[in-house]
Amino acid sequence: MLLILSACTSDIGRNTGAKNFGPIPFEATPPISSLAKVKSVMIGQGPSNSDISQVIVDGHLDQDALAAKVEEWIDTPEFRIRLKRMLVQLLQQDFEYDNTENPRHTGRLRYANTDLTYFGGSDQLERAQARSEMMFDNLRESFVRTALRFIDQDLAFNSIATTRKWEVTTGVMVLMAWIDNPRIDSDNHLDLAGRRDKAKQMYLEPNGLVNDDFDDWRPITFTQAADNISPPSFLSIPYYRGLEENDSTPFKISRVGFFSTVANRMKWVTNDDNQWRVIMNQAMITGLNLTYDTADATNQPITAGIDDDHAKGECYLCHKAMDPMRNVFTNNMTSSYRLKDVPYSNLNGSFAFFGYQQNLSSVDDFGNAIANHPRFALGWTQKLCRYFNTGECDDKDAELIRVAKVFKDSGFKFRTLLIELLSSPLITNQFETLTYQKTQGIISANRRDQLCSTLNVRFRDLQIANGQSPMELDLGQELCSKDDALDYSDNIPQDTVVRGSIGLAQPPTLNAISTRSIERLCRELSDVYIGGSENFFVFNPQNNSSYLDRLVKYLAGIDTMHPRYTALRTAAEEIYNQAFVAYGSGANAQRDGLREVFRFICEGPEVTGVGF
Amino acid sequence: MSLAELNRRQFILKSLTAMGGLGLKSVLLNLPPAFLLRGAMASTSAKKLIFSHNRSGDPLNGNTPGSYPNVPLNVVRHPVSGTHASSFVKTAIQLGPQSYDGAQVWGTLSSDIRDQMHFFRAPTLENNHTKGVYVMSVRNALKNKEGRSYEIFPSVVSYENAAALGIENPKPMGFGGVLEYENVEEAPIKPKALKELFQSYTNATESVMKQARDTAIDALYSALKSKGTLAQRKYLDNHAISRNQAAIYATQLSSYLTSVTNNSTINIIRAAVALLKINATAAVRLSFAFGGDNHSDADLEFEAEQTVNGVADIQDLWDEVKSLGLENDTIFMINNVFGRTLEPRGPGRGRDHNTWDNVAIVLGPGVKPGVTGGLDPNPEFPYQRAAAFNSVNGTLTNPDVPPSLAHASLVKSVLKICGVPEARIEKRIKSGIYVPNLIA
Repeated sequence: MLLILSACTSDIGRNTGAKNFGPIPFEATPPISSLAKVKSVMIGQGPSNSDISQVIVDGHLDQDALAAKVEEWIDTPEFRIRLKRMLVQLLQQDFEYDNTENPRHTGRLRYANTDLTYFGGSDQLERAQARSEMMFDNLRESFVRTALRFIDQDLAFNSIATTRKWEVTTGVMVLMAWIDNPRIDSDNHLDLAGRRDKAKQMYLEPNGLVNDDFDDWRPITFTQAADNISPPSFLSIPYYRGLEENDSTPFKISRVGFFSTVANRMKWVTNDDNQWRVIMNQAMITGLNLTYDTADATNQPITAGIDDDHAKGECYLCHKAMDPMRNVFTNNMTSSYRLKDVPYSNLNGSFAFFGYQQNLSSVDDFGNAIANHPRFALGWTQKLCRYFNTGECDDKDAELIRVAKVFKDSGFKFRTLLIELLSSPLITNQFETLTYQKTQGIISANRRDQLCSTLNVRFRDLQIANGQSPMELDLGQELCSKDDALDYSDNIPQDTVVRGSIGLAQPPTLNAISTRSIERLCRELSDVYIGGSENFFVFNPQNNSSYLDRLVKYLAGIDTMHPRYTALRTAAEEIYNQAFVAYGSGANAQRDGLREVFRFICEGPEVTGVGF
Repeated sequence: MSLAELNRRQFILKSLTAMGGLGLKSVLLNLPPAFLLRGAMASTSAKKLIFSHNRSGDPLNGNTPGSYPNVPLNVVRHPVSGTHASSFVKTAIQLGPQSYDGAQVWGTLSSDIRDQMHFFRAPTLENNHTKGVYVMSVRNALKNKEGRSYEIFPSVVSYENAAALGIENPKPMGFGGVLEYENVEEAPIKPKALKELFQSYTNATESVMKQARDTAIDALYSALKSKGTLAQRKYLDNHAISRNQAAIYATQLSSYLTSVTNNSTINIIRAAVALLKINATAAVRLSFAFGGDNHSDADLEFEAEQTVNGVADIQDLWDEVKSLGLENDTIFMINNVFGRTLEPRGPGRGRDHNTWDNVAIVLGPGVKPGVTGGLDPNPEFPYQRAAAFNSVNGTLTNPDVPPSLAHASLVKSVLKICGVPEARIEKRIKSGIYVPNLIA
């Protein structure tokens, strides 16, 4: 890696201007802004003096030094939280429970009706409801934790498509056993959907799950149960509770890779018309950053499984690739993701997609085809490039291809991809790449998660600087729902997974409503945290200067070596003084002045923009 | 913010958005130049849209003009009991020069509404409450701006007409219920929150300090605005424009929302029309109720009550449209997820979902008043389903539009009424025909 980086560093920080990648003249991003961007997307803070002195040398960004910083930041708890959020979206595990659709697949796990008589009182009902919510949280988190294991242990990340060893709780396994029940009702739906008695048994004492069953994470391998093997029932809770780290247990439903998690299937509900095609397409998007396309000329050697309705005309171009892939799923499963009654069908399967063909006889084969597909490395490099840039990189960009190759050659080590990509000009825009023609070194606006997370991290820094106990580190959910803050943060756009779309929807720009929402959010937070219920500061006229210093350094993320420090510090002082005059010099003058400085910084580009 | 300062900001904003500054405008608004150019070349008859969609599947097809064939009540049911029974007596409803048999309540609408109001029988061929997006995209026949995938009707109008109307935001805005733009769900707006978000600063000191903060931000980054990178300049310009727009919204919206106290229907109407008035969007989505999912409405009394209120909502909405001077620029349309069954379903039962019949309502300039389509007397399902109709006169004589194409034809025709250029309509929807009986 060092050799490659050294080769790249020859152009770092220079506007070579001679590559002519396209009509838009290249402008290098100021090194301090590139550093701010990388640190901001990773952990939400601004660059410290230490960061600046290590990474910016003689006015140029040292790519090796930045790579070292990225490696350091990867291991911070701040990045960990953001990484989990990124993975839950990119691995498409972030379902919202749908009371209409999901019960067909998973049973009535959430109690929409509050039948106190049945549950024997509100305590029991509330406990069951709370545990169903824990279950959903576990389901969302399970495969993200699995992916994190690959990252932490430097294992091949393409194994996300093939692994049967998942991080699970007892609760998750019990639910999977519940779904593994082969019986279906007359509508081909899960017969447990209306069986509240079973759900009650599962969720409540004396023999059901307890709260600890939703917090006992460990890796368990899910083997494929032979036809003559019946996996332990979902009521065998002590059995699942007794499984220890690295044990294995059988399931009849194939539990292989990110595309066969309960969360993924709850997110992408199929039906009798769709017949698993949504899962196929979303798996291609997740694994390979591609979607079915009539232009894909890959030879599909078989026609088994193609619906007659789609066997000719324009539809056929997609269905010829897609439908034979489904066979390994539809052979023994219904469109409710349930096991069929025997006899199963036995159609041959074939994966033929963007230049790669492989015969399929099992769901494991399908996962292997994704993992072995030549586009896996480029797909994930593009996925992350788009995520961190808030805009698509160019698939033909030599630098993107180089980073993807480094990722692949490392044995698909995700950490290597992060380090290589986040220190690359694709993200830093320190020298020209083809991607610049698409992104033009974009500075995007923080979306809700990023903004709230950034505020959380920076508030913690302020609290620590003030000698206070810092608030809990999270994505900023608590902060952005404090008092009336939720009303305003709710109006700030959110990153969203969109069915059928390769990239997340990441609104990159501010508009009137989001701007106003941020203004109101900042106002609300200033009222709470400065002289309000969660006060940051102990007011004393002698503290003004140091408090202003801290707001500039920690809230704005502008340390003293930053080129804009002096100007921002001066502006903060002026705002403070104007507020002092405007509000009058009463008992609350210092509070009001600091609140105004807080709002000034919070509304400004240093907080709202990513790497301004 | 002082008036002088606001005027300066408005002047800058208008200058920036003038066609002469296309490149700059494109950069600032993050919209492709083609979008802006298309607006310049688009039809000058572009209209704004207020779109009502109800996932309940309301029984409009049981009482609107054209829904009272000469058959007994055991074939086509109407409300006959309760407080509002008189509102459902079969009455000749004047729609422009012609009258049509319908529930009396429709005749209570003012004549200026009935002179540009059309009732269009168009089954959605769906009977599932969750299929709102599917129905609003005409079962995916309505395509996105590239002519692929799908897009829902209000989002097509908002995108296609935004530029022509000088509206920067190509997305629709909604007040509840599913609303997608480019397959991404849009967050619903609550009138009370909108009022509070954009209310002017009542505290003079806060207003002064807001101006001070804006001025300080502008001053602090003034050097970057002229000498920064393109990305920095774009971000700062967008930041400034958003602040300016928010300030303008605050100034303009607050006067229209003064009477908003909660999120009731009348306040949704006020907020929706206000957003159109200030050019925040070209299309808004809301939901008027006309009886709802009335499976167990045994005597149809709830249907009667809600329909009376729903008709009043239409009157309130158009009054609000007129009070803000938008009556020549706005189309109102109701198109629900499906209609309801017409024949009695047995004791204690109301109406079930009807895949095969539904009535849409279109109101506004460019709409020919009247009725299109009718109930099919076919003895296999007498008067329970929409019949094929004649697109020129709307009757069942010499029909040329089968029920399977009625919905697409309705949407295609309303796009034309909304002023979307035909070339763009053809890109968006291939199926269906323009219905002369609907288009004035």
